[in-house]
Amino acid sequence: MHDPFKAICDDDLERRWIWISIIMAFVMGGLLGLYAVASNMHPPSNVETIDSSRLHLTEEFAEDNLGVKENDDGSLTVTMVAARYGFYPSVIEVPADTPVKFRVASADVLHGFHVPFTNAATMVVPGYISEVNTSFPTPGKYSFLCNEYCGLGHDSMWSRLIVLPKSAGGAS
Amino acid sequence: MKPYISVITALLLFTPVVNAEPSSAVAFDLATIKLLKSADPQAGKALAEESKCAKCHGDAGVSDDPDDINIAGMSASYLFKQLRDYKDKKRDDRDMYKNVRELEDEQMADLAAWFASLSPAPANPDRVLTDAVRKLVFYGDPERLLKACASCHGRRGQGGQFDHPALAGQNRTYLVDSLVAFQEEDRENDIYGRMRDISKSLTEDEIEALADYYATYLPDEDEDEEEEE
Repeated sequence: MHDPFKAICDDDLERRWIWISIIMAFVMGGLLGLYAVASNMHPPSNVETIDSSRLHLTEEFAEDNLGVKENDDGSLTVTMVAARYGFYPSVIEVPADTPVKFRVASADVLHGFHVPFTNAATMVVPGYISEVNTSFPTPGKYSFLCNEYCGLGHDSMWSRLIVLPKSAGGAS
Repeated sequence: MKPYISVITALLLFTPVVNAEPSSAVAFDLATIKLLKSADPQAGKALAEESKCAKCHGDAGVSDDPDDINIAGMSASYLFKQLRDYKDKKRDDRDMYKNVRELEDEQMADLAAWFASLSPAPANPDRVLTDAVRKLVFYGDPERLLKACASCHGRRGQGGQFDHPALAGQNRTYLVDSLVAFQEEDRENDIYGRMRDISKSLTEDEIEALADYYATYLPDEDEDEEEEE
């Protein structure tokens, strides 16, 4: 069989290692793909634009309209704003095992939206509304963290998520 | 009877949505930034003299009365926002409302540019950074969702972008009053309740300690007299 790398490399051993590294890259890429399909992971795909500099003057992201709302089907929509340096409202309470849709927008620069120990994570790009669909199986106290460097107070940018046992009731 | 109960419940439930009002009508969008950039400090100076700003805020933007704010050297964006908020009644103060209600946006931008161009009051050279204050100023307290003051107001309290005012060199009484006003929701013009959240997590002692740290030192008049004697 003709080896296409013969044109650039005379050494047999070196060519073998070139092939091994290429095969390793494909194997790892394939594994990542399989893992993503098997765990039902999707990149956030919502594309909706919004003017971040006027966020507090919009209807959906007005200060009094933020927070948890219950939908007709029993699922929840949580509207939040990421702004230097916090997530607002600063405390969110949701029941466990309930579908939750987060709609998050940035009021200033690029932020990250991440709840450690859960699969809720996305980038919050100024000018866009980010959406995350998830549910939280384990009741407890969690944190929202910003994981995209956003300025000098980036390390102060956190807020609280409280997942209540389902028997404790619905949206609050 | 039941229909009435549901109607009343429905009305009560919808009240917050009907009342959904932004805490400030000012947005730092392109139009506002252009307005602030094109402001004329000299026109602001003339307007300040005409409006007698010096009566409360001092000749050079540094007030004699500790209840009033020192406005010299604050960012033009912060000053402009406060003036608009007084005019829009987003920040409640009868005297300031009377002074600004007939001003146009351009005039408020000119005033803001003028006071921003003045030298701020000096911070107290003898101020002491205790461990408790250092923690609040530079680290915050994650458990109480308390952000470090320095993250928005600058490491020296010199102020940050847009609506984050300078704190260093401010009147002590004004600092305490402002934090208490945020805490008690008497002042609500902080967009998304950022300062309301923070001040509610602070204790009375912490507010006093922070005010001590950031406040300027203005010599007491009695002290001066004693020295003269």
